[in-house]
Amino acid sequence: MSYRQKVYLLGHANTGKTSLYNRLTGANEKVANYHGATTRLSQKNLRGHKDTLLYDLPGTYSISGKSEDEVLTVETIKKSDENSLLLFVLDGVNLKKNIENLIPFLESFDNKKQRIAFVINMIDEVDYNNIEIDKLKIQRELDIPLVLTSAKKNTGIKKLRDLIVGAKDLRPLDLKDFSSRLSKLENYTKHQGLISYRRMQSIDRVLLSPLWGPLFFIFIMTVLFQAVFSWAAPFMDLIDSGVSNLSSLITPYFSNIYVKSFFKDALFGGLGAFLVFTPQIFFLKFIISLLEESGYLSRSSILCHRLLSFFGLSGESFIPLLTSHACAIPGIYAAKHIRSKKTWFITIISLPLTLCSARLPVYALLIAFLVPNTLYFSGLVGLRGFVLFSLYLFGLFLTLIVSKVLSLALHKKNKKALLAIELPRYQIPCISDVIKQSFQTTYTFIRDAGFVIFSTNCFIWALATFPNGPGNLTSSFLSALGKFLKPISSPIGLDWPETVALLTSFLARETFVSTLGTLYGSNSDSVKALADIIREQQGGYTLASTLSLLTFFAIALQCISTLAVLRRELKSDKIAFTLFLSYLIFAYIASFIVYNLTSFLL
Amino acid sequence: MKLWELKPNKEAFVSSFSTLDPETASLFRDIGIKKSACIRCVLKGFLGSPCVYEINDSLYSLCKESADKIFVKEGAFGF
Repeated sequence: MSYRQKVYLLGHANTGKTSLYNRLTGANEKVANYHGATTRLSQKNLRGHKDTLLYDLPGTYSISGKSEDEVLTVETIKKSDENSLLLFVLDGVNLKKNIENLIPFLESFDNKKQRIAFVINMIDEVDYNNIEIDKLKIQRELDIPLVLTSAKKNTGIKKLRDLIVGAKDLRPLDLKDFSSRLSKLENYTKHQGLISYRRMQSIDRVLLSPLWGPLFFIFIMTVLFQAVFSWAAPFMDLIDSGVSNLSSLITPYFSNIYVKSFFKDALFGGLGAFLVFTPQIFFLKFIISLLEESGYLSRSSILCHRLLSFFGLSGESFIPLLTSHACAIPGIYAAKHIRSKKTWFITIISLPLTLCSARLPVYALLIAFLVPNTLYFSGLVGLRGFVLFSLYLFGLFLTLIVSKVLSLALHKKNKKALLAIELPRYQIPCISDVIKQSFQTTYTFIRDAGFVIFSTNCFIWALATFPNGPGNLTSSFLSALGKFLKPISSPIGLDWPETVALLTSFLARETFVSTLGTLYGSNSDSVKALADIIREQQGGYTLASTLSLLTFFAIALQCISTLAVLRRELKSDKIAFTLFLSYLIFAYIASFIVYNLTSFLL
Repeated sequence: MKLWELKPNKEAFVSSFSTLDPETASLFRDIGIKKSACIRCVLKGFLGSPCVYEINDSLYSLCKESADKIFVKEGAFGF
């Protein structure tokens, strides 16, 4: 489709470009209160105007910015044509600095003509800080359209939309000439000291203090991981009983044993076994989004910098590492704003070892074999939650070890990465946006993983059912395959059903549980029910084989999507394949040691 | 004196970033500090963690390795 008009949203980092983009297009791109939250180019039609295409560009500090996202912005603007509209988004609270950084950016485009308009965003904070902006004077002096907005409060969005629609009548301006007029703009604002900064410094004196800073950080991380396991439990039970009831309601209507078995084992038993984990993913994303929007995550980067730099990472690696606890893929994208190439490389190579949400179903099943479901403090804190927390720490420990090894190999003089970041203002998160983003992440998980899991389950069900029909698992094709592979899996303590489930988990980790659900014919979606069936049919897993499986899943890179994204980001098939193979061999050897050592000691 | 040595709530002035080595100068340009600036130390980091400085109405966090490379002149500049 040919677009009549292209509109580029650009400006300093963290001025609310993505929030405006979401308001104008109806998109649901990630919004966060830290510099470098947008790392990719997004494009979508202006809502109600199919001929107008909006581009959301990563924020830039300078024309010479070295991070990949800043280079992307500069290259995109260079390629834009005369008819495009450059919509500069400025932070109303910090106009002076925004303008100072914009001038050299515009000067670098020699004789390039563009249509230009200004948006002064965060006008709610402008009012809060008693800042006076002389809108009419700015418009008169610069001779360009100007709109005052607050993307957060949805103020001025209609005026901005009208401006974009009527922008075809604007006269293109020479960017270099315009920059000299722009330098006067900083004199058009007045304020008596910024309340936001005074508030920010008072909060930082507590949250970054030597005593309260680390304590608050530990408290926040504990809440995060407890929420994932304990708070999500009632919602998980709700989904479990819902799918179970649906299964018992529908399956009796089928008389054909193959159809009945397909619905019971492949559809409800398999697919439902992963749906039950969606509340945990929702809670994880919800709390991470709250932290992102509040502005606390940048402070966490500072608190962690010294520790991370010892392992060859930097404070800039913290946000990618934390994000990868939801999924490694957004973590890899979040790493784009890391300025040092070596630190970026070490971060994206090591972050698949953090405990992502795809590992949760597997860990939940294995924890059900190891730990009783004991609850404390009226059910708010659970013993299984603590075990899961220790597994998160184990994932982090592995990440740091791999980072250290890589940093020693790559940094010849072991030179530490420099950290210099701008701290965002604190703000109260917009709960509706946070909920929207959390639902979006959960939906994406269901959509992306759901297709792979459903296809795998159908295939596994067919292998488990034929040639002798449902209920004859031991004489099925699947059993033959599992027994064929047993010489490889028995040294790490796995029986044939677990071998098959492990094989399918290389498509996506969470298929391990759904495959076992299909194999053992679980009627329920809950991990507890599946664990009970495994105990009943097989006597359960021994401590040695459970620990061996936990170790394997903690290390192996069993996610095709992550591997594909790593391959694309590293621009190398060879490194991606080497990485997959290295983690696989490392996982196998570690599981072998854990299994045999535990068996020997017990 | 080095910026890292600046005590909390003390102010200093840095006249030019051009004397810095290319990597540090580029780092400062990249976060938007280009001209001479008055700097105030807001918070000292925990056990050598990055410090928080107020520069041009914004707060920045600089690690020791970065702040050690900047030479400043201490004084009162009216924050």
